[in-house]
Parts: sequence; structure tokens; C-alpha cells
Amino acid sequence: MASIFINAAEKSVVCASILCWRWPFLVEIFLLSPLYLALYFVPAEHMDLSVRRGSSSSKQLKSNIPNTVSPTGAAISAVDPDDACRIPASENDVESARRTPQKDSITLMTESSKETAKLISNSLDREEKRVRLQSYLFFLADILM
Amino acid sequence: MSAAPNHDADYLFSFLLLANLFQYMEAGAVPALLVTIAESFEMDSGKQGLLGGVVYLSLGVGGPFAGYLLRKFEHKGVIVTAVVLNMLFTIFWAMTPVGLSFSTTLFVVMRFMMGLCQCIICVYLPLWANENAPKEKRTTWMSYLQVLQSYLPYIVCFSHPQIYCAGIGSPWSNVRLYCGINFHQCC
Repeated sequence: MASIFINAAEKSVVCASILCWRWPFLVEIFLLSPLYLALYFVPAEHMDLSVRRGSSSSKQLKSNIPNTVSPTGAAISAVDPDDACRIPASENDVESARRTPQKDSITLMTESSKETAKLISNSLDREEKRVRLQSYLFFLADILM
Repeated sequence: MSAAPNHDADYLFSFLLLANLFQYMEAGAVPALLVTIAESFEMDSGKQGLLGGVVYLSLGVGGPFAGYLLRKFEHKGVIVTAVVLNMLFTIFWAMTPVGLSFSTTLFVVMRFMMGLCQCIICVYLPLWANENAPKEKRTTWMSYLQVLQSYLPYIVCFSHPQIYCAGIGSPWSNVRLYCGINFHQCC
């Protein structure tokens, strides 16, 4: 396109009171303007990537995982391994858990919770690493080449 | 929070692809216009080289910075800011006054700033395609992005038969070399 502009100018320096070499860039701006304007109307959720969803609203994401319920009826957070291992808070829960020991099933459920938490955590970490890696790749590729 | 549905993703991808195509036009135009620009700004060969290379320096320097912005801030805000700034810098760049003592420096600095803005989009688009592309089209979408980002300058540079047919040692050989470098750019 730039070549065509320069060729069309036929060695004249000024085209329509502007230096000829400026025109290709002005045409580029003219072509880009409506597209950039249209970008405002794209819904934000269609442009948001999970890498940020993961970092900023990981708590929200975590809360979407259904909580498991212990045999005693006490809810155990399914996500945070630390929370999952925590003894139910209320005294009644503690008391009932002591009376009806079902350690195996509780252990199985907390293990499953830990696995879920690990999977989510790994997935979020992978997304973050992907962005970081890609940005470093651009850095290296451009600097070295 | 939901990703774009398939048909919306197709539409949005075409839109982003077109914006990407137009955005990198300047990368192809500069080599083709280098001689004319150099005459206007009275640039020596060193400054011409700096003008050609500074955008890639900024793309490289801006990479980690773009990653940080995309991790910490809302993506739409980041992208819109980047494209608006890119357009503003392109306008200022295209209208840089000639004949002043700082004209050449201003021209080079503007191009560096444009590269910083383009870098954010450069990092974002493959990530967006990776997340929103239908599984069977993911590779195709990625390849379209790469083609438009790295081959376009080459195509635009070689669109003129005189440039394409230029031999080694002719005034066009520098342009040809520059296009060859662009050809291998990953962005």
C-alpha cells in the first residue's frame, strides 16, 4: 500500500498539502478508527481471560464448588485443603462427630476435596504461567532477533 | 463470567483479526517509505536503522509489562487503553513535524511508544484465541494470527515489483533485508 502511494506520487514530495509519506499512516488510522470504536461495544466478559478470572476472583470460583457435607451434617469447605481438614466449628458438631466416628468416610471426602482444590489451583497456576511465559517469549524473540 | 459463545467468538475473532491486520500496516509501510522518510528528516543510516529496529525493541521490552497488566487489570480496559493509545501515537507519529532539532528523536520515540502499545495486543490475542477458539479451530486461529502478525509486513514490502526484483547492492537491498528480518519476527 505504501509503495502504491509513493509510486502514485511520482516523485512529488507533497500530496494534498501533506508530505506524501504521511498518507499511508493516515489511511491506517482511518481504517482502524471504526474498529477501535466498535471495541467499546464488545462485552467485557467476552474479552476477559481466565488468567485474570483466576487471580482476581478465585474466591468466587472456589465458592462455586459444591460443599461436601460430613456425615454429622456439618458443612466442610470442599476447596481449601486447610479448611477441609479443619474440625467443624460448633460444639454440637464436634460432640456428634465424637459420638459417631466415621473417620474413613470423612477422610475419603476430605481427600477428594484436597484433590479438587489441587486441580483448581494447578489450573489457575497454569494460566498465569502461560501469560508470563508468552510475555517472556516476546521479550526474548524481539531482543534476540 | 462466561467466555464468548462459539458464534460470537467467530465474529469477534474476525473483528480482532481485521484490527490486527490494519494495526500492523505501519510495520510494512516503514521499510517501503524509509528512503522518503529519511530524506524528510535528514536521517543518516544509523538513525534509519534505529527507526526500523526500535519498534521491535519496544515489543520485546513491553512483553513482561504486558503480562503484568493482563494479570492485574480488567482485560477489556487494558486492551481498549492500548489500542486508543496506539492510535493516538500513530496520529502524532504520522504528523511529526519535520525540520526541527528534535524531529528525528520525536519520530523514533513515538514509534517506540507505538510498539509498547502493540505489544499488549500481541500478547493478548493468542491467549484469547487459545481460550475462545473451538477446539477443532484452535490451531487455524493461531496460524491466522501468526500469518497476519509476521507475514503482513513482508507482503506489504514486497507488493512493489521493483522492491521484489531488486538485486544485492541496489538501493532497495536494505529494504529487502529489513523485510527479511520482519519475515522471521514472531510478532
